[in-house]
Amino acid sequence: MSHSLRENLEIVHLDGIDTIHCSQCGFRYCRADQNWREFCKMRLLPPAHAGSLMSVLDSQYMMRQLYCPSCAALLETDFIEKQQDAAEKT
Amino acid sequence: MVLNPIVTSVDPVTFEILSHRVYQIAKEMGSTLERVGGTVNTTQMHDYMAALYLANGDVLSAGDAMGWHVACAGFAVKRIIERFENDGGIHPDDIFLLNDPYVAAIHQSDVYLISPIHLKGKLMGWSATFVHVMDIGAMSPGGNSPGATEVCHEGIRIPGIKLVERGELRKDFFDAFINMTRQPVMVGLDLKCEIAANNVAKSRMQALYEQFGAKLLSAVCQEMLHYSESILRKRIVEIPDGTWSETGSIHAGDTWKVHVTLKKQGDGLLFDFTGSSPQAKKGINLPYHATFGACYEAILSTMAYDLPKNHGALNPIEVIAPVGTVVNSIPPAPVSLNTTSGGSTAKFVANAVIMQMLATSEKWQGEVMALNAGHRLARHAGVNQHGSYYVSTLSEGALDGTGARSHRDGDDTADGLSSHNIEWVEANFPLLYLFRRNTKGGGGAGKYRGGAGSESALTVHDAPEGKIKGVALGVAGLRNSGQGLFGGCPGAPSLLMLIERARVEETIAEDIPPDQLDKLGGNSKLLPYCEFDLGRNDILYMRMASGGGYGDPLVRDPQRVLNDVEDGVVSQSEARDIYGVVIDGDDPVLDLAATERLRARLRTERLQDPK
Repeated sequence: MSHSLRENLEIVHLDGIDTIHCSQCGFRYCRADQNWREFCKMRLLPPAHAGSLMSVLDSQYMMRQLYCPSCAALLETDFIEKQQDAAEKT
Repeated sequence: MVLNPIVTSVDPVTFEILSHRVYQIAKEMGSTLERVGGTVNTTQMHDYMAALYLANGDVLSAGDAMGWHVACAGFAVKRIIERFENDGGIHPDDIFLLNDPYVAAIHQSDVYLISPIHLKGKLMGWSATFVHVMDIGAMSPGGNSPGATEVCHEGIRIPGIKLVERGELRKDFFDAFINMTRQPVMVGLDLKCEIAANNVAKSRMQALYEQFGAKLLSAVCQEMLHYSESILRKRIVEIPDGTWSETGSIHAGDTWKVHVTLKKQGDGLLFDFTGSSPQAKKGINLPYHATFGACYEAILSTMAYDLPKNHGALNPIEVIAPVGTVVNSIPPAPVSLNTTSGGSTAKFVANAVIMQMLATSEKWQGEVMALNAGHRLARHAGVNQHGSYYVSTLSEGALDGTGARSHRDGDDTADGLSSHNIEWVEANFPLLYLFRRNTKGGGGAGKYRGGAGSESALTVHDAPEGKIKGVALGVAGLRNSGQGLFGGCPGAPSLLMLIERARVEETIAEDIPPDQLDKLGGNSKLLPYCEFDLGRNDILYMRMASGGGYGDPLVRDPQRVLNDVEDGVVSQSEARDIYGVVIDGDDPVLDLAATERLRARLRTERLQDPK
C-alpha cells in the first residue's frame, strides 16, 4: 500500500515499515522518518543554468538540484548562497 | 470547534439574494472610487479598498479589495469607535479620516475614510475605503521615502479625525490636509472619491434596511460571517495537524529576515513570526495589524478564495508577532516602504507555509502553486510637458508573472494589481516608453512553466526641466522572485536598472526601434530603494519578477515548449538546454526523436556529476 508524499515521491507501507520511494522508478530512498534529501544525487550549478536572465545571481548564489539516484527525476531546485555552499562543503 | 453552515432562521434563498446584494454594494463602492478618482493609483492600478463592516467593526463584506487592507480597515473602524464614541460622538453622516500606521493603517499614503451607517438614528454598521493617495507630504515625492529613518519623516499622520461632520465637509481640515502634500488637487480628488464611495455604501445599505427590515438584514449579516467561518474551519480540519516554517529576506542595504512558523491544530491556524529581525531604521517595517492582514490575505487567496470575504474567514487565524521586530514595529520606526518590502515578504512566507501545509493533504495538493514575492515599482515626479508639477506611479509591479501550479502554467504578466495604460502615461507625463513586453526566458522552467514577468524601458521626453525625479522601491532581494516547486526552477528576479547617457535619441533619429538595450549603450547600475534622476537619453529599465516552475522541466510536454518558443517567452537555446526539447529553424519545428535522445542524455548527465 502506498500514498503520495509529494511530486515524484511516495510512502510505501510494507511489513509495518513506512519507506520513501521514487514514484517514477520505485527506487527506495530511506525510512519515512529519515530525510530523503540526504539520499539524493546532488548537483551545484551556476544560476544561469536555469536561464540567461538568472545570471544576475551568479556572483552570490549557486543553484542546487536534487535528483533520484536511479532515474534522475528532478526533485528539488533551490538557490543557496555561495558562502553557505562553502560551509556545507567543509 | 466546527460550526455548522446555515443555522439561522433565514431561508437559503433569501440568504443568497441578500448576501449577494450586500457584496454588490461593496463592489459598487470600488467602482465609485474608480469613476470619481483621478490618479493612476485609483483609476488604473486598483490600489484601493472598499468594504462594509458590522456595527462593532467586524468585516461584513469586501468587494474586489486587497485582503490585508480589509483586515486593517476593520482595525481602523474599531479604533474610531474607541476614540469617538465617548468623546466627540459618532453621528449620522459623519466621515472619519485615519492614516496613522501606528493606529490601523499600513503606511501614511493609505488614507482610510470610515463612515458610520445609521438607520433612524441607530448605528447599524460601517463602510470604509482607502486609496493610496498620490502624495502625503513625506521626504520623497509619492510618499515612499528611502531616506526616512523614522515615521515622522514620512508625512502627515492622523490617528482619527472627522473629515465630514453631520454631512458637512470640514473645509478647514480638508484644505489643511491637502496643502501639506505636493499634489493638493489630486489628493483632494482622492479624498472626494472616498467620500463618494462611502456615501454610495450608506445610501445603498440604508435602502436595503428600509426594504427588508433591520431584523432580517441583521440576521443575514450574521449568517454571512458564520457561513465563511464554518466552511473555512471545515477545510482546515481536513488537513493533517502539523508545523511548517519559512524565512524570507528583505534586502535594503542590510538584510532583514521575516520568519514564520505555521502551526495547524484542529480547525485553527497560528502564524508565529518569532525569529524575525528587529525593526529597522528604514521604512520596511510592518505594524502588527499589517502583519495580521498579510496572513488574512494569504488565507483568502489560498483556502478561501471562493468564500465571501468577511470576518468569518478571519476568526480561525491567530498571529503572534514579537514587539519591536520588522513584523510588529513600534514608533519611531519608519514604514513608508513596507507594502512592497516587509509586506510582500510577510505575505510570501505566510503563503509559503500554507503551501507546505496544503502539500501534505491529498485532497488539497492540487491547490499548491509556486509563489512569487517580487513587486517592484517606481514613483516619478517633476514638471510635465503641460508645465505642471506632478507626482505619479509606474505600476509595472502588477506585471509580475505568477507561479506554476500542479496542473497548469503560471500566468504571464498578470500578478496582483492592474497596471497603467502606457498611452495615458505618455499623454500626461514627460515619458516615452521604448518597449513593454514579456521577458524571454524569465518564467521558471518546469513540467509547468512559471509565468513570464514583463520588461519595460522608458526615457524622458519633452520634459521642460530636461529631467524628472524617480523613486525606486519594491522587493529588492534578488532571491525573492518566484520560487520553484518540486524541482521547478525559480523565475527570473525583478530588477530596476538606470542606464545613463544611452543612445536613445540618436537611435530614434535613425529610424531604428530602440527595443534592444544592448545596442543602446550607456552606463548601467541597479537601483535599490533610492531616489534617482532620469534625464535625456537616460533609460529606466524595469524587469518584473517571473513565476517559479512546477516539477521537472524534462517531463514538460514538448508541444508546450514549442508554443512557448512561438510565443517568445522561451528561446530555442533554452528549450534545448533546460527542457531538452529540440526545435529547429526560423519557422520553429519540433523534432520529437531528437528531443527524446537529448532528454535521455541530459538525465544521464545528471547522474554523472559526483555528489
